[in-house]
Amino acid sequence: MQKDRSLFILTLPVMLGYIPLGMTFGILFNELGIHPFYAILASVIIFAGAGQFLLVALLSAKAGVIEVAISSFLLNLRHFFYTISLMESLKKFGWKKHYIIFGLTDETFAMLKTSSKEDENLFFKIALLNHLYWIIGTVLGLYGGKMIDIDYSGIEFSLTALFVVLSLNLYIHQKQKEPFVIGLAIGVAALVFFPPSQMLVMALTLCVVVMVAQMQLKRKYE
Amino acid sequence: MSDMHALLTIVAAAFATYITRILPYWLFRKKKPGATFLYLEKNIPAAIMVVLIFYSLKDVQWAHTYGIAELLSIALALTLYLKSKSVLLAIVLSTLLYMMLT
Repeated sequence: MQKDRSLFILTLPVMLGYIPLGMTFGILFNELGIHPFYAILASVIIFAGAGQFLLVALLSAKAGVIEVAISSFLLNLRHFFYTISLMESLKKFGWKKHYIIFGLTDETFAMLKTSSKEDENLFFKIALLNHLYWIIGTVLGLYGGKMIDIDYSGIEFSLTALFVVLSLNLYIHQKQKEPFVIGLAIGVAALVFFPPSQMLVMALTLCVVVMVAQMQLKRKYE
Repeated sequence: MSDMHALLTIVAAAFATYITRILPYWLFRKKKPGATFLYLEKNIPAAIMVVLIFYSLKDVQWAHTYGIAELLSIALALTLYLKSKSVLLAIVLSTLLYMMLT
């Protein structure tokens, strides 16, 4: 029991983030007019903050399934690095590693990376608790949002705010600044020139192409 | 929006998200990733994240409103995050501002 209490305290910061953010997702999802069950399903099987916010935007735009898959994949690519970063520990674990890998969100990764012990059960419990906070937040947002009848219009700005803050966060912590300039240039160009319905796929594709080209050029001249 | 479409969309997103987390485990269980690969997957997300800011603004009527509400709220989000380092605070307050302005 003592152990469980300290686990709760350990994951408290994540809970304080995931419950409100999950609620925002739930409230956002309500605006779509789709049955709340799907929001809960999303939080259970996707378990990604920015990814699920993007999902709401894509559902609202009636995006195709392929576009959703590609966009989600590219957006969450940074999680690639999380798994690689924990590879040494993961290789030693048993079946629980699959759930741990599934639950590698930004916050879970940060928590595991700064953990003093490399314990499979501890990691598993942390991932599980974070997942539960996220699901609870979603449910609270879905039903609490419906009960408190205020005008939620404009709340979809939280999506923009999330991307802005995450970009800034990445910018501060990353040494290579070129990707941000590339993203900025392509973003502005896409907003101005691309048709809104195709904008995302075109912009993301262009990003990949430009970054690969840029990387090849860098390799050539270094 | 049919329920089936919503279901397919969510499953597709779940699958794509999970792939980003499990793929490195499959690919690099036996060997280490090369430097160029690491460079790519480390840097593409940053570009994507910035592009997504603009994507989220695609329905703004720039000609009518000049995007003032959006720009002010984005400025607030940036300032709040820089000052407080809290993702949540920045998002909540800037969204509230935006809701008040519109």
